[in-house]
Amino acid sequence: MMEKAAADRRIEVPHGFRKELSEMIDSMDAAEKIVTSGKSRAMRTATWIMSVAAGLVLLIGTGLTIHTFRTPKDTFTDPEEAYAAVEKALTEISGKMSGGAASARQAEETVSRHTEVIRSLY
Amino acid sequence: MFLAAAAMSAAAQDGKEIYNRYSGKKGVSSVYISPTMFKMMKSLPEVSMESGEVDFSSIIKTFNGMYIIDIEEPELAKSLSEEVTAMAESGRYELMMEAAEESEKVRIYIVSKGDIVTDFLMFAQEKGSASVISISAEMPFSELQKLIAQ
Repeated sequence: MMEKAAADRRIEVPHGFRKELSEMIDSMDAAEKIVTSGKSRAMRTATWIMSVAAGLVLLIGTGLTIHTFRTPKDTFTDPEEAYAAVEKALTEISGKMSGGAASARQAEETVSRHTEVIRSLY
Repeated sequence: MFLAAAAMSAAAQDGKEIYNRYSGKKGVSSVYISPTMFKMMKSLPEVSMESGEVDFSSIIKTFNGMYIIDIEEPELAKSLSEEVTAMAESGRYELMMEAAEESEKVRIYIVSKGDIVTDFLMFAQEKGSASVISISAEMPFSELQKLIAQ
């Protein structure tokens, strides 16, 4: 329908219409270019920043993972020194465990004593 | 990314992780004794296996590794306490003993397979300081009981 109308030379095109139409198309094209180019630059910048941030997080994370799961270096090179350190640690452990056990025994004795007192009353 | 996130957020799973997280920081003294060093202790005849009246030789022979962390920095000590608590709540460790005196709290955790203790961890906390002694071993319960009797 529109094609027929366009082909029909009898229909007169208003004066200056072609020029206006052409200018309008050009301006729309230019506007589209501005909008598209601005958007892609912002997106490129955002993508770049996000990529760098993700890379940094990955790098730090990998470093932390390696650090957390690594096998540490021996503190001592002399077995006798190492043995002395182990003995010292065991003395400390023994002291704390014995202290805890003594407290438990004391508590048990106190409970037993009180239980005996209650029993003697009834 | 998952590994990174896990490493940053997850609680430590054993003494080695705790050691690696805290050793080298300000106010922290640390000692690590490797399985190789424990083997060397066993194989060297000139190394005395007795110290005065206390004999730890039989129990030391069952050890594979030892990590000691001693923290004198209040903020780090608090962080260590939280980390040990989280580790214990994760379910691998079993609370064997808890004792509290005036200024000190002590908790002892173990991991065992049948009658063998494979991991031992003692956490002691005082005001502004905390320490962890972690031992990986193949230690029978009977050897562990000797520590109380010493």
